[in-house]
Amino acid sequence: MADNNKKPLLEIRNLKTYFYTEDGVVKAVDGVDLEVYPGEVLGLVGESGCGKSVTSLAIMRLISKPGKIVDGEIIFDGRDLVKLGEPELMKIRGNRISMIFQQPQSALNPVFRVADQIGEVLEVHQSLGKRAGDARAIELLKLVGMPDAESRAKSFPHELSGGQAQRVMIAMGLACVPDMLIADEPTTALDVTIQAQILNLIRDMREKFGSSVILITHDLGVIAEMAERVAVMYAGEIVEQADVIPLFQKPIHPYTKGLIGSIPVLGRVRDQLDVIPGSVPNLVNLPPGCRFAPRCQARKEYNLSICTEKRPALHDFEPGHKVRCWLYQDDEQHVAPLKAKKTAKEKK
Amino acid sequence: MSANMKVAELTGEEITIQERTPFQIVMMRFRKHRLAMAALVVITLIFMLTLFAPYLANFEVTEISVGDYFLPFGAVDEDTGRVHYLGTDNIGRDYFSRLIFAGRVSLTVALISVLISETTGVIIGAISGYYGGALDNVLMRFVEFMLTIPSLPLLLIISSMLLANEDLIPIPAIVLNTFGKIMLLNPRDTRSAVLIIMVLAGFGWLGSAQLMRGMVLQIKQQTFVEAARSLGASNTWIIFKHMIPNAMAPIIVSASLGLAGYVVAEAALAFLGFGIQDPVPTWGNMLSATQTFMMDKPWLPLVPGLPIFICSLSFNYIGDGLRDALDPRLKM
Repeated sequence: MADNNKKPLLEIRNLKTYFYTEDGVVKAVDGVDLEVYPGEVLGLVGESGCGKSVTSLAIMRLISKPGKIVDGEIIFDGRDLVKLGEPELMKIRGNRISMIFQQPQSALNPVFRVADQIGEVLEVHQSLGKRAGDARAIELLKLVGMPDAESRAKSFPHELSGGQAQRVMIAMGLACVPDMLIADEPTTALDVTIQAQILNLIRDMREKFGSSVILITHDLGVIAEMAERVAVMYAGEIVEQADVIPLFQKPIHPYTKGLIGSIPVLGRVRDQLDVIPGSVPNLVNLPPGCRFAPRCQARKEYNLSICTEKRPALHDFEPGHKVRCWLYQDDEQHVAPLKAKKTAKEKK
Repeated sequence: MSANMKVAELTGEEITIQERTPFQIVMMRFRKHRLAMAALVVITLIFMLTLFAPYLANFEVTEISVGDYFLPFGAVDEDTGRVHYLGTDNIGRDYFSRLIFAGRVSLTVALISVLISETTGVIIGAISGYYGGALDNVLMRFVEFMLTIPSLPLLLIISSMLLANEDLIPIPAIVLNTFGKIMLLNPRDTRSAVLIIMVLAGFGWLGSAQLMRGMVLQIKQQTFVEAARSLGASNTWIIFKHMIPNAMAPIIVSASLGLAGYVVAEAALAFLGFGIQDPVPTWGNMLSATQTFMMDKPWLPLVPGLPIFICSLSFNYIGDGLRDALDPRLKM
């Protein structure tokens, strides 16, 4: 559980990343606020296309044309990454913040041996020579639990299985002992059994190196298992943010409720899983009010008109539990419990 | 029960299958291509002949046997007892000796031209494709503009201009010395050979630049490039460590096909009288020298013509073989 008195390692303030396409401006990330504390695992959940990956790429400052960070601050260890130049960023990438990708097989360069690729990171950041790099690479491979590390170090990426390739990626990510590891759907492309191994490995490595982890996934099961704090993203904004247990036990945003309701539970047979009707809004033409309003059942139930008119703000529902929803907030953006609204509605 | 135990006791090492490196796989596939293997043998033979030319040739390149004009194959020099394996030419020079020394010049010109043009093409193509935008536009429009110009007339004009004015382009002495040693020429003749290389390579890089740019545009989209950036690699690092090695397969193929082109191009220039001049022998100017008596003595043009033909054919077959061997879609 996050200690809120601690100073955050990474602080994202009002981050806006837009993509200027021919069809219009795609607001992939539109006003995200997020903190990551040293040593914690923050889960970032959401459907495909909600802006999770773009957020992570923005942290790495790897947004390329036609995308652009339009507004906001990404303060990492006292420095605003948005304002840093390329040479400084290169010193941070892979050294202080590193990233693990979804498709481990294609994230490795097919023409180089595993040891060379791990050595590359060390060569870039620590000017380590070939021989020292190879030795360290084997050490790292052993650390990430690669079976038969010495001979695997000499393998080419196509000779590795998905799980092994992901271990190599993790070894590369951890080569310089970064302060933060961004894992962008690290297990999506892997078998379920391998998934568990990789998640365990990430957890072990976090304990060993003390790095913070931002775990990006659409899999709530992974979040429940790994994360200490969770941020739920929807259409480019964070709709709910809380510690993992309160979030799963008592989700308050209708979208989070829908997400949790749509997980199949082992041993509980239902005719139909709960689904959230509709689909993610077009990020070019966003609804003027709450972005979830067109799909929101609760809105219809309580017959709230403000939802389609005004965008709600992210506010504290309870200490450490933030939500972006009109159901828990009145027009002046004060906390207004659901019960009050319900009684008001009944009086009418 | 004991049989089961044995399976369980197998160590990882015993059941590991011997894995081949990509190089071994390519070599294995290349060996299956019979024509390419035959071509490789032929080319190796020709290379050996030219490499050991100083030991194999029994006459000096410029040695004239007065009176012994147009001697037939295998004629014996009366004074010294040396054999003219391939006879003599119109002024009594030994044809075989000239042929192998000519090969040395012709092949060196072709090899160095390929080396320079492919390197230039690869670097310019990679930069153009990687950075894109305005730079890409300028570079590629320039390449396309150059490609629209018919190259042979331009080559002729430029080479005649360069060869006529010795001081137009100064070439450092170290370059002249090195190339002079390779081709066994004096500095003055080396200079014209180096100029021919520059002219050939100057037009030769255009195609490989386009090829490389196309490859880079493809590779740029791949995750490992983004992964490399996320690990702190700079643009230069990515171009040299990730783009170029991944684009090597088609570049190697185009280089081997390019070799054939340069052997022919050098011969064409020489044949038209704008290449390296007599008395330095090249296959092209030996061919050119036989123009006036081609009809009476048809073997004279055939002797230098055949190696040009064989070399260009062999380089093409090797290129084909390499293309098949390096193409990952043809998994064997």
